[in-house]
Amino acid sequence: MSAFGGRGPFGLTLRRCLALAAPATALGVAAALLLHARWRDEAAVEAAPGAASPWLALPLCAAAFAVVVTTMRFWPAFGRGRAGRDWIDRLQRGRLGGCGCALAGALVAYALLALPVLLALPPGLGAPAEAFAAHALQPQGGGLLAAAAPRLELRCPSGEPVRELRLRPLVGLPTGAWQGAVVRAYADGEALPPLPAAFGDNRQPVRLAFPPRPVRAFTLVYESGAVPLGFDASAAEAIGSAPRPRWGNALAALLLTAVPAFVALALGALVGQVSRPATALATAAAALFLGAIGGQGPFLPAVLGVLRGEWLATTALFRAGAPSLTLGAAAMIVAMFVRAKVQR
Amino acid sequence: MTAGVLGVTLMVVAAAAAAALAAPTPADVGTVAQWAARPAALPFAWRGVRAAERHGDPVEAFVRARSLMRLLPEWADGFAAFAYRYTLAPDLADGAPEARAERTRARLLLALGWMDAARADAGRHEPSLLQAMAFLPEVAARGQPGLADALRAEGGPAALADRWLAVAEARFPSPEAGEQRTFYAARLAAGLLAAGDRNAALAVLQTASERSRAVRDQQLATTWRAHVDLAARALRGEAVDLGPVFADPRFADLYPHLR
Repeated sequence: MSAFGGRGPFGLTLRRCLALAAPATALGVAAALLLHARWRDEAAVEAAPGAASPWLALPLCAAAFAVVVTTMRFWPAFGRGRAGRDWIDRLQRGRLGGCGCALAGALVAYALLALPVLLALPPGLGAPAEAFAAHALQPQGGGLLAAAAPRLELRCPSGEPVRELRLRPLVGLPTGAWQGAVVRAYADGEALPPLPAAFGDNRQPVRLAFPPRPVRAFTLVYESGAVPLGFDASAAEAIGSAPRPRWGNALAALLLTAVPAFVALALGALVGQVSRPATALATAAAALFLGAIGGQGPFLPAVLGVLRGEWLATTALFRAGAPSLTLGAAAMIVAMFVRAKVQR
Repeated sequence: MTAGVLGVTLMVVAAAAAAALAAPTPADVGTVAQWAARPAALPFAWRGVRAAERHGDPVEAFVRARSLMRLLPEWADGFAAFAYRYTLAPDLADGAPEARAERTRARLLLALGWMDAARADAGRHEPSLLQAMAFLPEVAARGQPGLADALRAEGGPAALADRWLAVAEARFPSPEAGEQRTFYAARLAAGLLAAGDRNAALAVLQTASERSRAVRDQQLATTWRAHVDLAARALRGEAVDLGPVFADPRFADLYPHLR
């Protein structure tokens, strides 16, 4: 049996997933639009497209669940004792009994269903037309900014011109009578406009916009105040000035939102080598729930990023998906050995 | 007929009888559906609020908080906490101070309207919700320069506060509510004077002076009333010794208008 032919596990699973998951995805889109229209919060003074994330996540979750459940129920190698499993064991080449190709077919089906959703739905939910990259700034030294350590350098790893500095430092206990920390920012030694607020609360956000310019390093100077500030890796970022296309962000989001489906099917393939189909299906569904709805992995950050207009094709977000990808890959490798041992 | 079928039939009949007896309205059905969905939806709603707060976007956090509080309509403290957080959050947008003050005004009025709508479900916690509403305008005006001017059309922060103190006093009459509003008069009068309404300020002081006769601690009320009367006379243009008033920090908001 050819793995990737039209009648192999890839093509058969792809067609089956498209046939069954497309209506589920369409239902998810319709429900999301209805619910968004019903509960849209018109009252907020300013726009908050990120708050519409449940309505973008809903059709993507529907597609992912439909694809995973369809694949697990369709391909006989995802579970012991299923009708057709013996035929697959005899006829299907490969060390996973076609599970890998079925998994690939399922992911392609998910991509075909989710990409139009990621392209068409965010504008309707209020997402900005363009995305901008956020470059995490690297604090030098200990990351402490206080009266005793009044200068802190923040390296900007990207050469892209930036247009905004965003700071959200940790605030320590006051060293005297409480007074918010007044900080002045410099870009490559050149003074930027004063920050609009002093730092008084932990993780208090302060944003400073300035004309776009390439910056190698920002320097923060502690001018007055009684509270020390701590800058960790997530406390400072610079926003790039080059707008990125929406389709690029949709593609990046597609890759990131496909991770839970991949992990679920990989774990399902592993458990299915030694367990009954119901156990394998429950394992895959639980893994998908954790990844897509439970917030473990890059699914929800990707959905939020698309809606907030954050450029997703950055190393940081893909690095956040590395543990999930490693888990899925490891599960598939282990499944090969388990299958070989079980078949002996 | 098997026992299973009999059990299901009995359940259906019982449910139909209950529905016929209770005659639920669509609103009742919605309430029951919300109650049933609440345990499943709450963790995700909370996570959404936390994610917005981590991102540092107060507007998104407030919109998500509104969604969360639809599931918890009786939690008056939650309404107050989220409304304060939204109103007092630093303004991240650029713009002139007047534009920032105007945005804060819009946020304040939105938050007050939201808390006002929540009163219907607050039950025994309504007085504390009204108190939170009364304090919010003053607290916001302290943190945002120019907000007091932006609230001139509403009578200033003190008038907004007094409006809710009056509602609290009318809805839940008690010595505490009455005294709180009485002693708030100096600040309210200062707000009215800042808005250029001297006659209204004098009326407030005169009313407060009369109301202070009902205050339980008459020793405290007598001193306070004497200072109120002195301030009122000074505002009417009489030559009086304002030393005792300037020595009383409860009248600090009135000092600029008495000099």
